[in-house]
Amino acid sequence: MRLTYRYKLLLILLAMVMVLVLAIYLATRAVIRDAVTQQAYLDLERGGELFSQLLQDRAGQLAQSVGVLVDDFGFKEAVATADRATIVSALNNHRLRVGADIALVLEPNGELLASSQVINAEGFALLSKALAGSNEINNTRYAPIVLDNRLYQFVFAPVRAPLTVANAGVGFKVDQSLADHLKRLTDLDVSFWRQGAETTSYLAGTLSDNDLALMQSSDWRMPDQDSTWLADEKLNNSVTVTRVPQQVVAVLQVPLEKVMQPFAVLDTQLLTLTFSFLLAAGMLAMFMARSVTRPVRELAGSARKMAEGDYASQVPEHSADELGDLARAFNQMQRAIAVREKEITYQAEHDSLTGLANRAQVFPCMRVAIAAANEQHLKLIVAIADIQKFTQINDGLSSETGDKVLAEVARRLQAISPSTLRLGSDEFLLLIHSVDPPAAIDAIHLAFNNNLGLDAIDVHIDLNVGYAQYPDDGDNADLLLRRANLALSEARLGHIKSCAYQSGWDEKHLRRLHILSAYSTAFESGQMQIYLQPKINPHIKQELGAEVLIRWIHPEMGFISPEEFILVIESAGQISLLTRWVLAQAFAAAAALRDEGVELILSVNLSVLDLLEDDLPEYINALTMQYDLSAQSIYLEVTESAIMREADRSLATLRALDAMGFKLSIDDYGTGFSSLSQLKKLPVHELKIDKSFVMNLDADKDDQQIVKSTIELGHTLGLSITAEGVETANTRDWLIANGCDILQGYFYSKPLPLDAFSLWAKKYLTGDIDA
Amino acid sequence: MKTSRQWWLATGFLIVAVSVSATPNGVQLVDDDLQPVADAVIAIYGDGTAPTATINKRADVDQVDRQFTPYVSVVEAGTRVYFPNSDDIRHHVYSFSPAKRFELRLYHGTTAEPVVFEQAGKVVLGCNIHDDMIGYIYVVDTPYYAVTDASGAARFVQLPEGNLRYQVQHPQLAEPVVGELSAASELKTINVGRLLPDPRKTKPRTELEALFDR
Repeated sequence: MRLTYRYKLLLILLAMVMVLVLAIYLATRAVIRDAVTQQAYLDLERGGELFSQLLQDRAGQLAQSVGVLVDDFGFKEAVATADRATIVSALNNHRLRVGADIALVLEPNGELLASSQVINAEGFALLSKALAGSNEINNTRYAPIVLDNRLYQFVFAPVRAPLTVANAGVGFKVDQSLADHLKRLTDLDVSFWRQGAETTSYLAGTLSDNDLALMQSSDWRMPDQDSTWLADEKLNNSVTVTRVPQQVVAVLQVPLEKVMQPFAVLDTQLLTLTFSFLLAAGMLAMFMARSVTRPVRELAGSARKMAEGDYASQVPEHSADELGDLARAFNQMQRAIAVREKEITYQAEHDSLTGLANRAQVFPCMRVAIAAANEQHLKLIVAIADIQKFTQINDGLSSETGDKVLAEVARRLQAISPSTLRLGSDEFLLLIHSVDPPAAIDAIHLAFNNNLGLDAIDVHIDLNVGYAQYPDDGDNADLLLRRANLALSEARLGHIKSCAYQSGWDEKHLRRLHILSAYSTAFESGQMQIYLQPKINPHIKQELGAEVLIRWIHPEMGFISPEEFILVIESAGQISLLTRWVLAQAFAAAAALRDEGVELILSVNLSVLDLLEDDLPEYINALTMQYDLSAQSIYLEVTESAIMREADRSLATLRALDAMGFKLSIDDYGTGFSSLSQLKKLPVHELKIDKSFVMNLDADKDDQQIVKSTIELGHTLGLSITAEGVETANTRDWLIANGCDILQGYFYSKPLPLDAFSLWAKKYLTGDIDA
Repeated sequence: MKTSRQWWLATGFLIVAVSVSATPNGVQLVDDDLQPVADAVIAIYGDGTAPTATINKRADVDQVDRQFTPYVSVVEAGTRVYFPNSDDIRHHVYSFSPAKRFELRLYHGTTAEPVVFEQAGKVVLGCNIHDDMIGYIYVVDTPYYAVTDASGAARFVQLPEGNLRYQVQHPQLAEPVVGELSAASELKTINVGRLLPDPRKTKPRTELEALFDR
């Protein structure tokens, strides 16, 4: 059983009080009982003394009555003259007069002179003994004597004429009536007992038959000395009546019940008092326990409410004691926690710099905004804005300035839409309800026409804004956000200030993601294959070259054009993996072809990102050595537009490759706006004229002019010129006529898988194919 | 006591007057402790000699301060004894003794008739009103008798010649002490043996006191 604190407290208090009260009760009871018992014994002893006194008083009275007899002159004369008949008549007369039971006269020598009763020899011997006990024969004497199992109080007095001539004795029976009389005076049961040699016999007394039988049945012996004792629920006091010639004892008794009667009353009162006190203590303990536990329960209840997030339930502050103090402290704590939780919640939900709601609030806010749009039948513009060139501001000025810029931008955006959130460093999400989205977006840009005007520095900024609309571009927050992000990316890439989401972008985006995820497994599963397209030297047939191209056939997506997936892979920064795989495959193929007797000049496309890797030259060099190829026969193609973008950064790699003997080819030449000065700096060996200039060469005079001048320019710089997209004999002829060094195109062959290429190359080299 | 001494002297003169004897003899009585025994009666009997006639002999036993005076008297048989009452209260003098039983009912002064004691023996005197009063009269049948004084001595003016017997009586002797002497000159000191308690000094205690005497 689980006991509450209150009950424990109650029990402990009650137990303590109970122990205390019971101890007091028992102690008091014991003391009172002792005192009462002691008092009873004292009373009994006093009763004994009174009893003795009464017996002696009676003896004194008896003695006087004997004195009357012996002082009678006639009696004296009768005794002195030994006139027996007269003596006996006088004795009887006197006995009746004083109410005695026996009267007799003994001669000084102890002989019986006369007696009112017949006394047997045994009784006479006792009388003589009683009388002979004293030397003072001339005095009045008192002697209790048992005759015929009856106790008599005998008084002897000398008969003097004037010398003692005899002793007169008068005996008074101690009977029931005397015992009753003594009982009335002493308030004690009185019984007289004679102690024989063997037995104790009952003589007289006030005992009831039951009590008498009880005493006689018990193996009771008279105590040697007067004493008190407890037996058979009675207090006893023995008082010696006489020792000689017989031992007679009076036993005074009082029932214990009677003695204890005042005690019983007192005990009842004490018990009542004790229980009353116990009850009062119990109630007091309960009250105290309540007063202690009730505030505690209130505290516990309040704490539970706090756990549920309710900080409003104040604990009543009842008292000024420690519990009241605790309640006050508890309430203080509750208030402090409420304030602090509010702060923490605010900080968790808001951006500390700008005060806007943070990224965590995007979905809650959007849910609210969508609901509002539904209600008001408005369009919801989900717009994501970032600051153009914010990195430059941050780096170029200071991060403090950057923070100020962010704060000001946030302020202005919030002025446009209260539902403005900060997504990340310089990205903001605006939720705008509008019927005219383009106008609303324009309003955003309009807000930044004015410079920010931060302290000393006057900064002008522009925003890129991408946005999607609810419900047109998506019906849920996820979709809308993603699409707005796509629009923003589009805006950034296109360097335009605003871009709305166009349908299909999201699908394109998803395909890119799909491609990217499929890419890593494409090599092992054989989805990727290299193809070779011949590069023909029209002048020297044996100098056969081939450009390594890649084909990816995905089991679900089917053929994926290199233009598409390379762009995706480049944007994901994973082009290096493909490049190296292609290099390894191509070199292996070249080695295989060489083994078949086909010497090949290999052209492999590199991404400009590859050139940013320092270890690339070493990798290619290692492959070259592995397959025992000549660096001279390896052309590495980089598109013009790409190398122009990163000319400076890729220069070191290009030079390293050049130093190793590899040849560098500028692919798609003519589309990348390259300058001759840049071109001059690069260790370039070949220019590949973009096929857009070549395909219509037959008809287009401008193209002819461009190609012609390019060939001339290249030759001037000492570069080999390759033309791509040669599809007709006329084109071939024109190009050869105009000095183009290498030709490549469908006119010769489309890109071929390795084994097909091998066949084609053998035919070509043996002259079976017209070139 | 002056009065009692005068009476004793008077008696002595009487004895001297009636006795024809040689030189006076003295005798000393002692008890076992060799203490002098006063108030003892000594009677001397001669060897066959009869006493002279004792007609008209008299003696007085007075009652003074509730006491018989003298305490012990000795008279020859036939003597008339008077019991004058010198107290201003009445007395009731009696005797239950076998030697002489009499009773003189309440009287004052010398109104009581004299009592004649004829029979030899001890007569104990009592007073029915005053239990403490006790007196002794020893009646002897010889003319030679005396009572010892406070020093235990007695003096005889005349004693018979030849062998003689003596008889000593005393209230504190249960039986008379007797003896024989070959000559009067031998009568010097008589040891009477152990004395009983003096009956006068055995004052009865109160009854209540007596109760404790067990």
